[in-house]
Amino acid sequence: MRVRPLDSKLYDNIRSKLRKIDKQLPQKVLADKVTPTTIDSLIVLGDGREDYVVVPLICHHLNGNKTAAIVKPTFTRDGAIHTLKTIVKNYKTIAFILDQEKDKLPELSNKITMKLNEIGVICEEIENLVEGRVIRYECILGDHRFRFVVVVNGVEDVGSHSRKIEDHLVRLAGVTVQNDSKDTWNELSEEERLEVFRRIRDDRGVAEEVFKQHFAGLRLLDC
Amino acid sequence: MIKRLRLENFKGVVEGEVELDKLTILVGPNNSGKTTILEALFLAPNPFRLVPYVSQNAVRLVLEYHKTLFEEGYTFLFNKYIAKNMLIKVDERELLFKKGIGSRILVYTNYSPPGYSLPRYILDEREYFSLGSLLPDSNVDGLQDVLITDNTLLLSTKLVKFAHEYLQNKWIEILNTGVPAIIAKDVSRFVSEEYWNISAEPFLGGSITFYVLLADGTRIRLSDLGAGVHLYIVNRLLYEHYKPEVVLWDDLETHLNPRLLSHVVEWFADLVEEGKQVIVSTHSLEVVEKICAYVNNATVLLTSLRDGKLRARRVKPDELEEWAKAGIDPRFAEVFLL
Repeated sequence: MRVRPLDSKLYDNIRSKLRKIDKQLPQKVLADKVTPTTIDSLIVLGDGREDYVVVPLICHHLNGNKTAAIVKPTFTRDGAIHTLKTIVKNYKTIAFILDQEKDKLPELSNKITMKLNEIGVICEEIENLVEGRVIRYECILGDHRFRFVVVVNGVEDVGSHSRKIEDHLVRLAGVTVQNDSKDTWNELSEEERLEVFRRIRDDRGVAEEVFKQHFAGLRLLDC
Repeated sequence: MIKRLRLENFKGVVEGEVELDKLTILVGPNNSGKTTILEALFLAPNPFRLVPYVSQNAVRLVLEYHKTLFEEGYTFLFNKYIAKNMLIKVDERELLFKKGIGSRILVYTNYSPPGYSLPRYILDEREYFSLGSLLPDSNVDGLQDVLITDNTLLLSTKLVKFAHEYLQNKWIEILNTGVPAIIAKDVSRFVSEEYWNISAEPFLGGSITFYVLLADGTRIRLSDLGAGVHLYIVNRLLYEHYKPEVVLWDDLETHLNPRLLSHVVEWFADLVEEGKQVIVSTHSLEVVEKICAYVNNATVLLTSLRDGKLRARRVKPDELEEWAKAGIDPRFAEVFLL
């Protein structure tokens, strides 16, 4: 699956980071063509920075020739849901990826369903995968039905006091977290971080082991 | 005011229609039909009419600035070069181009302007009037002083070089209106120097060129000013001399610093208040925001061109704000929003 950013800043963020991993990678991962076939799936990033690289790389392993649009709303985490009302109707499936941080998974799930309700979306939980880190909802907004897949970043046993995308990255890097995985990740040199991204690109098996919820959730876009 | 434009087989557009407002902003990716719309509107009043550029008539100017080498003729106006007929329709007024014998292109209109007795023809059981012909050697043979629609003027960085010679030929008419001095002083607000007039005088070797005159009597050649200032001065001179009903500005953001851009947009607001119509194309959301701030009810049209089908979606400024919050830039997302 390729991704098509719907904003120039996000496009440049993704493209510039992918380019550092491998100059040919942007062409493989990003859908540049202006007249694609119908794009019925959307990926919404609740948090930024490393998600800009990780999510497109995982998409690259999945769903064949499909293309999904990708956005990073101005509001973070569950706040991003508020901005979706105007665009939901254009998509059949939406994946929403956010950090767990210090929330408990059921609480986070409740927050998300409440936010969806606030914008008029009626949703029903259909499936719960990867120990509650992937939740599939079937939703209705007006007369539009769509699938909403929540993917929660974080690894239980990595030792970070707040759970986020960097949990997965430090696990791949093989380093010990002292306090917060983000700090540990940022202490690595740029080349060490790029090596981790290259492993995600090259070793699907390892990537799937470490990013279980992302593979499980993003796979659901192919319906 | 021009309310609707319909195109058939014109350049890259097989078919399409757009609705226009007092101030319309065309936004879209490259090759989405923005410039084609502006060129059609430029030709629509009469492709044979004289326009304030050195190529003299509108269609010849379009030919000249599309040229890359020495190609001649007007076949490039027809979709894929092979369409037999081409239509530019503004509201109910049609401009029909038909390929005739020997690569001659015959130009008709369905409108008979009062005071003229144009040759009448029945084409496909409809009444048309002949305006003239476009010839294979790039010359034209047609009525120059007829207007089918409101008169339009196309402004673009690509056209500046065609404007200088025209302005030189008409300079005494323009100078004696006092307009150059007004424009010079107006521009001074955006540059470090104080300009007090514009003149046409000999440069090295004796050939005539344009200058801005500074308060201390020194001169700076117009073409040696910053590109944005140069562009604005030339476009304002053209407008003030030609006084069209409709201003068409292609790629508005090109060369313009945000302050000068604000000034240009303010000028558009004045034009709209005077009852003129302004249609611009841009790739810049900053331009869109500026225009929407200065001009109430400015219309944003998001254009796309797929398989020759021109489409346009009317977007409200608050919709653009909502999209921005959702991380959507219409210039990237046009295919999903149309």
